[in-house]
Amino acid sequence: MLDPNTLAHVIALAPAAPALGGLVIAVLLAARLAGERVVAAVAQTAIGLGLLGLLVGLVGWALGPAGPLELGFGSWYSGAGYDFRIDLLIDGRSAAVSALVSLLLLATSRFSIAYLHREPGFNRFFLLMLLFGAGMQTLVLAGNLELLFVGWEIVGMTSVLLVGFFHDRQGPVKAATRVLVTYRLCDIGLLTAGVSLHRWLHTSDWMAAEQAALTSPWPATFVGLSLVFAAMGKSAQFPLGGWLPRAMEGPTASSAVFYGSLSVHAGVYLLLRAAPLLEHSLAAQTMMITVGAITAVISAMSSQASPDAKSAVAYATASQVGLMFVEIGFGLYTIATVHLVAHAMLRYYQFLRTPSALQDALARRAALGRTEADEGAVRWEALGLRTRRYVYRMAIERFDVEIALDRYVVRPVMALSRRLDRLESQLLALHGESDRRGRGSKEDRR
Amino acid sequence: MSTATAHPLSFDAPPQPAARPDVRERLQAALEHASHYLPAQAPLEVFVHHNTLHAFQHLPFHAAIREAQTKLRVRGYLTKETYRELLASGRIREDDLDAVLADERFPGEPIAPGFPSRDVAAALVIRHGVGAETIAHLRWNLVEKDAANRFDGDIRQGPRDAIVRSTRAWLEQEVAAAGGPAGAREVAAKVVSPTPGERALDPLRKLGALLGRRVDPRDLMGAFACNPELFSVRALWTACVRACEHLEGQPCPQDTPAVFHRDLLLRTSGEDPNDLVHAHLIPLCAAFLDRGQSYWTMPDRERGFFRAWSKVLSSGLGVRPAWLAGLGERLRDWDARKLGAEDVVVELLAELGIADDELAAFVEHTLLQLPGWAGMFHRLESAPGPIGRTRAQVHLIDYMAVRLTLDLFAYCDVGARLGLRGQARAIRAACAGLPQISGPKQRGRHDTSWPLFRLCQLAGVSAATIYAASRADVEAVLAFLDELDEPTRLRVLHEAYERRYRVELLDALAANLAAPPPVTTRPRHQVVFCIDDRFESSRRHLEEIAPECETLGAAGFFGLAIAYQGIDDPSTFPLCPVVVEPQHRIEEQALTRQFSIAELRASRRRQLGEIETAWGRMSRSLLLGSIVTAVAGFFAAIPLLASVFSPRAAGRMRKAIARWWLPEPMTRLTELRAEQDGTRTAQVMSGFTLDEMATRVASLLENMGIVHRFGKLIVVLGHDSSSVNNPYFPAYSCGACGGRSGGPNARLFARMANQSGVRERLAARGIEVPADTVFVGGLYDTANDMIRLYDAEDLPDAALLELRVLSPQLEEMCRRNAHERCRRFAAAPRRASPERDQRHVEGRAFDLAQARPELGHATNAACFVGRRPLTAGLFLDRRAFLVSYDPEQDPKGAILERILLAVGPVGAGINLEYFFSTVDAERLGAGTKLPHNVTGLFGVMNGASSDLRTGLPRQMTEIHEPVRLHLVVEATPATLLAIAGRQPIVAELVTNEWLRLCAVDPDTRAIQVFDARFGFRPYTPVSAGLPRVARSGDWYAGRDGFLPPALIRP
Repeated sequence: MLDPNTLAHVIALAPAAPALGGLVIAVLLAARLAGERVVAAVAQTAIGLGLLGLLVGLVGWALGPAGPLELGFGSWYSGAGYDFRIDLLIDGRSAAVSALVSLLLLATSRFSIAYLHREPGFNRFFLLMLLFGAGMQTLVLAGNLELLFVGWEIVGMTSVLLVGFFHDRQGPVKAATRVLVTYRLCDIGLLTAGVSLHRWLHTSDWMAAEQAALTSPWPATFVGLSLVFAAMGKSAQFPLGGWLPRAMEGPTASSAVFYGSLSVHAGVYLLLRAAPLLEHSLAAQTMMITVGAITAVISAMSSQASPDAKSAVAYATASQVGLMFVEIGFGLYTIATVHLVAHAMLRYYQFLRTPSALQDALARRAALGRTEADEGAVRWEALGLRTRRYVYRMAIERFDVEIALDRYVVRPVMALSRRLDRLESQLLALHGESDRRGRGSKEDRR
Repeated sequence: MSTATAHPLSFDAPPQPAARPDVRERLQAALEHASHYLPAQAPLEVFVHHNTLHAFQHLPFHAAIREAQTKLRVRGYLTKETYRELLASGRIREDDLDAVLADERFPGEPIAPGFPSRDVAAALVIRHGVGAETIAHLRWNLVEKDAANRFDGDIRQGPRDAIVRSTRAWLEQEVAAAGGPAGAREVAAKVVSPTPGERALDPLRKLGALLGRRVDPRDLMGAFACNPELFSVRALWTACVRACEHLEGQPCPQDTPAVFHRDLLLRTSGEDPNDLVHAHLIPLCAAFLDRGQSYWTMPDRERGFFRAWSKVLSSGLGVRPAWLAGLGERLRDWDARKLGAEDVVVELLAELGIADDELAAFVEHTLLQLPGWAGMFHRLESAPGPIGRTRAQVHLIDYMAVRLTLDLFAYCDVGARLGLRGQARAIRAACAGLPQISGPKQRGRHDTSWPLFRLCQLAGVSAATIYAASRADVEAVLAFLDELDEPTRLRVLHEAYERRYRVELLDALAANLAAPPPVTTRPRHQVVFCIDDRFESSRRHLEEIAPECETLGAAGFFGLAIAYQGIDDPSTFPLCPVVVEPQHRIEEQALTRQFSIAELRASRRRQLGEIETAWGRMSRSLLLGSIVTAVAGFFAAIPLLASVFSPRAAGRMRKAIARWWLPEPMTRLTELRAEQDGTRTAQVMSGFTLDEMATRVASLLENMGIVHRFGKLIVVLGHDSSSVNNPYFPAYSCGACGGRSGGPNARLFARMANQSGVRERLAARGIEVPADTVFVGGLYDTANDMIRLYDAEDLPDAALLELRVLSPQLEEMCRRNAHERCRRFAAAPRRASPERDQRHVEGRAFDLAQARPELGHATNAACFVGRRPLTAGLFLDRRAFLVSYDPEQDPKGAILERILLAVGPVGAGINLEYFFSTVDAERLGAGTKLPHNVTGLFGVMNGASSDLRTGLPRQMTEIHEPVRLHLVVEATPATLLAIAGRQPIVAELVTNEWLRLCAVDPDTRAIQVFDARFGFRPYTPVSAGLPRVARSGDWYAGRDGFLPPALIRP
């Protein structure tokens, strides 16, 4: 039987080992010693160690007294009535998701050794993947919102860098910028939530917040809405889901682990963690249900109409994640957790297999004895032409959500900023800095 | 045209309608012309290697590359840095460069007085390059590398000394002539002249600043002595700049001005209209061409892309992006006027202000914005190929109409942000007036003088010569340097690179011919492989294992062009080269007593297929999806973890389950057709008559030259390649079978050759096949090195006994072959046993993560057509296609003509596709496989939206050496020239040097090499003798790069 202290340190390996592995790879890179074999060995060891520690810890926890287990590692800094505590929280939810994360990371590192062989960014990929793993485990095991935020940011940054993995081409970099902007926008929600928790409830501990929420409903609503907003961006929900298909610019393996399985579910996990708070806010629940339901419908339709393998899976993922939002909105936490874990596993596998789309389709056709290349669904073809055109347009343009956002939000903001920039350069011109104008207007178009 | 018929009788009809058909005709012609430059790649399902620059094949190889460079903006050679590295590493040697330069025949007279001769100068420039292509690069050299003040690193000691010596002499003269301190300033100005933009300095003081000490006007020689290098180089640079001053402002020799809207807008605004257009266009193109990926197909596909697109865009409510504001009215207007795609294109061309004489260039420019997509439209319109059409009516003109409409809106939108409002046709003129678009690029004094400066340094020419040279002399040197532009320099370097391989190859051949290996004359067994380069090693290993076994090579469809349907296939599929239309249908049928098994198999397959389809659909649907994913998602963990952590075990397990659940019935082929059978009426006949069989069997046996010596067993092996998670799977399979398995052809050939009726007819033709000779068909899997033999249960007992001897030998061959292949795989265990390596290659074929299940034709570089003694006992490192041919039985060259007609284009196609995908992986190849996304089941994109990637991915080409195919034929030059004279296809490849032809005289064994400039020239071996080893394994053990040939003599 392990005492809580040992348990804490063993479980802490889950985020710490990948982080350490990342550090080792960074040092190797700096020392120009990083070869494929070394890097792969480091990554496998680090992730394996993390998984091992986690499994031992979880077994220890399961054998111990029932109930959630809080493991404290002291505080990072404290003062002026604030204490940044490094706490891990083990309960059924974090145990399941954390195990999933470790397992999928191990699979990804194994997969990527062969898949990324001879790729110029091999070392960079493993470094980012290890950091991602550390961030994701921190996010999952965090006992309070601050620590979760740390994990959340690491996950966000590594995701962006992996979308832009092929940074010598323009497309991936643009897509990465798009992801970055969405992530940063939604980080506002998480940040606001954290600050308001402290402001009103004087704690950011998941367990303590639950107690505090009972006393005052308003903060719960405000914090709840902020959290839902944060989750919407990370989980590609309406109307912020436009980045998801664009994120497929990275290597297949990273698309699978990030957008198929782990990163995209981080928002759901956040909501599950904050569930005790959200329960006290009808507004937040309504928002989750609405946003989730809309996303589920739109994305499911887009998935049906997607002509390429990766988008089809990506939209299907967003659609199921939307349903998870609905489930949480209705308070079905266990179902949502089960759904999350199972769904992550399935999508991961489907993503890894996307390059097989052609071979699979040919095999299926052969098995069914179909010869016609068009295997349009009978039920789809049975719809009237006008209905089909209408539905199809909505599906392929994804209900014009992004177009509307672009037209009514992005363009006006850009136009305004351009105008402000011009104004600024005119003002500066009065001071003799006339050459800023040309540069300034060029920069804001990027 | 309708307008013309509306006024059939009126004479005074306006001339407008008469002019209109003209526009249309020219538009059609322009489309037709432009479509030649689009990639001709078929949907991936029927991927077949072809020359990527096929559109330029009518030109000589190097001219074609130059043309493609300007037209398609692609690279046709490796980069000059790569060639320099290859020079440094010894892959290209000095004597290669010398030999190629000698053939270039540069004249020996000096370019100008005091300068080296043209041949010497050319050698220097090509060897070292002139560097600095861009102004930025030039500035870097001058500012950061201080290039105007010191010799470049690659200047040898000889020229350095010559320059310093000559500068000293020149300076002494100048100082003497200057006559005192007053003239010293003049002299110093010849050494340092202030650069433009620099505040005018006293040249003496500037010189002092450079030297780091005060310069005494009376003692310039003293100043020289304290740093002769700086003094000499700087004087040379100053002289070069001054000599080129008068050329400043003249137009540059190579410059491409922006002509059309997109380039103009991009250069003026920094915003690419294509970004707007492509984001909208690409998903719709994919949806329209989709061959079954999406469940909801695009409506109205049968009405063409333009109609379908405009219908989708104008139905229902929806928000239009700001840049497409007004599109709705346009579409309604066109719809009301019942305009087709062509009318719309004509209208848009006018609206964009495209003049008649620009039409062809504009259409080409527009289509080449997304060559992959435009190419797929063109390909599916002109040749849908064996996969058939979808319901979509594919026409390139439709694509053009949609593309131009979107372009128009995008141009106007970007233009509006530049303040250009109003008519689209005004955009070009307005842009051209903007300050960002300057006139044609002009020469500056520094960029013009830099190459001259480099040449002078390389050749040891000092400032004295330049100051003494006349303007005409300087211009002559500059013209020489312009002529020796980058494509020319790369061409010479590339020829030298290829020569090294050719020398190795032909030296090895000569050595092998000088000491021929013992070859069995009465073979016990014969094994026929495909000509594929991948079987070079298999054949070598088999001969090492079993000297009494003869190996042969023939194109992998074995002369049988068939439309084949196996028991698991939904329809027939041609198994023959893509240019051939099969006339005979062959089906695989279960034996009567095995019908029930076949039925069971079919029904279970159908069930599995249905489950799989339903599963796929449900996992992507909404509500059912939630149940499916939540419940069954956990089960995905089993195959996932198994196939990631132990691909081989998982793959074997899957196979075992499939064997158990889907039992395979015994089958036969429907090869025989009775003479009187009436099916002749159909385009495709079922089976072959005995006469037809005999003709085909005889012709293959004659091709291979085995009409007299027959072993007891003749095994014919077709080939295929198994892999998972690989959209490029047909590229690894048998090219002669249209990217499919050659197994059925091999099986059919064996069955035909075993027919007693066929044997009788063969005997009547003089081919006596002994009664105890038995043919066996088989399938060789090049990915996992496994062989499966067909119909072995039907063999007579004697043959079975023989097979018991041969089978273990074949198995050992597979193991050794896997062992040899593994030396090129970094992931394979080092120095492992052949057994271990065979497990490794088997695992690769099952591995989802494996981007390189095998290396395909990555090592191809040569092709031998001739008898086996030519190449037997020679380690050729899997680089050579081997075609069996016996010149002794072909006095007129008729058989050779047949062979070359097939092997030439196929071999060159494979070789050139690898060549161009290697040298330009992004534009001509498909780039790295990792972000590839299978689209519409016909192609791959990068990520969610990009141009369709054509060519080969980097994972297939990374170890390839881009060398043209060296076709070595055992025939006299006269025979070959006669064949080239008769066959324009062969002639084009040979005389334009798309492949390099070499001849080995069947009798004298003399080797000759063809060169378009000189015709056949005798080849004299450069080095005598080759390394000798007893087994292949001894030669390659522990080495993982390309290996030179060696003699294998037990």
